[in-house]
Amino acid sequence: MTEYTAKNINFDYIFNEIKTITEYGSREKKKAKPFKRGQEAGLRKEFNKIRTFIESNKRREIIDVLKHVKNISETMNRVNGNQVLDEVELFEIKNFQIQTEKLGKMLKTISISDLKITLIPQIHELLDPAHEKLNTFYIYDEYSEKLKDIRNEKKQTEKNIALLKREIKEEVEKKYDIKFNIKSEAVINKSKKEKTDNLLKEKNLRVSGENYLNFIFKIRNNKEIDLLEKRLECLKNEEEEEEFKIRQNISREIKKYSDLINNNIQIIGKIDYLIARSNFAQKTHLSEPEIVSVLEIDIKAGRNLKLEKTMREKHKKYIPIDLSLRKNVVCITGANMGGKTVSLRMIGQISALAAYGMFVPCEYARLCLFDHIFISAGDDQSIEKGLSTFGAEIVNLKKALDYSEGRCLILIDELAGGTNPKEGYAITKAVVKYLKRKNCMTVLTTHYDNVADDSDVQNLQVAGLVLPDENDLIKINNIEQISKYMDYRLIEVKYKKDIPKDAIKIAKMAGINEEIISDAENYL
Amino acid sequence: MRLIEIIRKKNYYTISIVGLAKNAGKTVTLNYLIEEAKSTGLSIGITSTGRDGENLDVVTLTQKPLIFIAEGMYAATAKNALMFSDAKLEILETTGVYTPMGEVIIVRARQGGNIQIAGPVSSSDMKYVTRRLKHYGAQVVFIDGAIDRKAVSSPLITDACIIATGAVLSRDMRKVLEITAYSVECYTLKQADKNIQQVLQKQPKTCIIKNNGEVVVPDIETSITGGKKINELIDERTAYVFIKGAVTTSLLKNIGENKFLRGIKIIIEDGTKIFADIKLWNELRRKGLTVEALNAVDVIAVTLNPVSPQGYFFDSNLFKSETKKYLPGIKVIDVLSGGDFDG
Repeated sequence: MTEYTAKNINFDYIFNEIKTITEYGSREKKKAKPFKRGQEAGLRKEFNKIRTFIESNKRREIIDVLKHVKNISETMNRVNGNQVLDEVELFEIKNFQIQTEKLGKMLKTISISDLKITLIPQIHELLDPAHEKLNTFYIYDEYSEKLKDIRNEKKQTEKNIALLKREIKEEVEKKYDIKFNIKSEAVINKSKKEKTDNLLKEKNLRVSGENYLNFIFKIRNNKEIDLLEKRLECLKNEEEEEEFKIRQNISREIKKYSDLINNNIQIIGKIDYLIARSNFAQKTHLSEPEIVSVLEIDIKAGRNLKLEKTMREKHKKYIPIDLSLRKNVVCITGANMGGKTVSLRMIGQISALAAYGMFVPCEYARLCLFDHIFISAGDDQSIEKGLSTFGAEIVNLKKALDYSEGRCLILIDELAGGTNPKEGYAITKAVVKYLKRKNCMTVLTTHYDNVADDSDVQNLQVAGLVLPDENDLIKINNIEQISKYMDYRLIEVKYKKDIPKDAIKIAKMAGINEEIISDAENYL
Repeated sequence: MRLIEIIRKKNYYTISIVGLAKNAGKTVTLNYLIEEAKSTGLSIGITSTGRDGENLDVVTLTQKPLIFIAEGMYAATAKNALMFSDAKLEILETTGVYTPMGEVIIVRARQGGNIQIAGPVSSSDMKYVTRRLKHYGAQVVFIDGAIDRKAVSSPLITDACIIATGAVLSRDMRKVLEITAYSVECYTLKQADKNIQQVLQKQPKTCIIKNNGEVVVPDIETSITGGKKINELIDERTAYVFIKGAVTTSLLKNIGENKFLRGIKIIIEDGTKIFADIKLWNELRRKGLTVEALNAVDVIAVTLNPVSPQGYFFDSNLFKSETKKYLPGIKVIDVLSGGDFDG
């Protein structure tokens, strides 16, 4: 399916509406490829999973867990590159592990064989050596006796320093009747000469600053404090070193399980993407299609999701369409404004969604898988690029024909409708003749008589305008009101029948000059 | 009453500290508050708007005290700042809130030590982070607000604020007092009455309200350029002028020229939106300008730092008593030399 086709059948719009929660899920979504002919069994399995999630009462709970799953891919890359993880990264792995375990438990009640989370109790133990059973992480004392000893000594040393300092401070404060501030400084006015002289001589004080008014004193460390502070520095360094070693060991240990962790990451991504599709299916009332291997498409009450949404926003009703495509070439004929192009896009949308493992917008669908899907429909973009309507469709047609050796779904809207009717008819007829021999399904809308006049071609016709009284056409103000009188159903036509003259009727209803209308009827 | 008791009594949860300049003593104030809270057994959370706690103040290259986080305290800080801290921290949550210094991480100190604090930048992120700190058990959160980032002290985000001022603002104490008084005045503007608040809730744009209740919305893009237009629309029937967003010097100048000035009330969003020249402000107030705010900020204290890093300093007792004269009714604390002994 080309980008052009995806856009034209609104597949890209729907795909964007599938919202995954985790980054693993969106990665899985990005990787999504269509199931091809021969992979029908795999696709059925995929649908099974979606159905299981739709029916499961655990879906809400799983979503809640997924919301807490963070992306640790970068961290895992660092583990595999033998890097030493920092505390925050270890915290993230621990949390990932906890969320994975929760998911694992929930998935036990859901019987999907290939979505099994591998529990790694070793990782849990590794990151919770104190058995605190908390979601948090810390380089716990339990990691090594050495760490514990260092920390104890550090604590004691800090205590001793504080105690000694307080003793000296209190002693000095009492002795000289001064007060230290929050920064442990005493600001003494120079005018109190006797006091400052004494303070300057005090061995426990040092001058930390001076200006024309004041001396600023601080406590001078005595030898004992100096020694303790040196020891404290050493202990801090030792602690850092020991913590580094511990982090190094944990990182190495985690590496041993990196395959298992990465496997869990992938499964979480798959679950996320499956749930996203289940949510979307439920929200937009999609149904599970039946996948067959014969070249057939049956759709009951099919809808084009994007168009349906647009209509709803305008408070209009979307009329679902039934169709049953049985032959290699199907022609949709009938009234203008009868929804032929809409039906064409709907066929493409349903086929593409099914192939991408999604439920489809209809009450029931039974269809086969295609190798390629093509659409050629009125395309403003190519015209902007400088191609004429005819030019654009010829380019698209060529692409489709190039692939027609495989099993393709080829959707063509008004082939050669923009060129002179004589040549247009000739090209259309020739293309139909060529494609009916191929193992493809071609659906085309056309106004040309006789294209469908072929027993190998299936002809579906829009039921057309239904008026209360044929002779009494109602004048309308807004062309969109036509939809009130339009019967969009597609009816299979077995024998050659006149194409209904709805175009003139519509022109009349829209209020085109009576003279022109009657003249036009004469020309017919 | 001690500051921390006021905070508790008023049931305040988030307190922002706003410095009127670099080195106005914001960090000393924070450390002081931490000490106070610790002594009453309150469990504390700290964070900041933007980076703080660096060893050297990058703007003036003066020594800056680090923030000491004691065992059991909570903090929210960016990952890169975390890596420079020597406190031993338990990681509680990675918040998904990002700053230029990395993701904001919520931690609890298992062993005390110094920490660098670099919290969320945006108001909504700050709200989220303080909520999470509360969730983990912080009973009061102090937010170190960076200079010129008054936004986070906005009343919508914190319950109250503390203004740190000091000798660094000017060698002239009078000037320091004037600037401080002006800031406090702006923050603590009277709250507009309920009726007018209700009217303005439906009218979130700069507008003029007449005394018969009629609302006129001038066609202006921002209040910054809209002063003239507002001025033209004020007449003898004008009761209120609501200014959405920044209140600038040029805007006030335009309104100040209006002859109906005495009869109207200017309503602004909150005190942090005033960016007007101090002289003009005082002059207009004398001429009878009345300004009220939709949201009042509770300034619970002003802290003083009598020492400037440029080497000069004020006599701390004089500084304190003068500040009290300028700011009657506001708690004034000299955090450096001993805190609030005398209330």
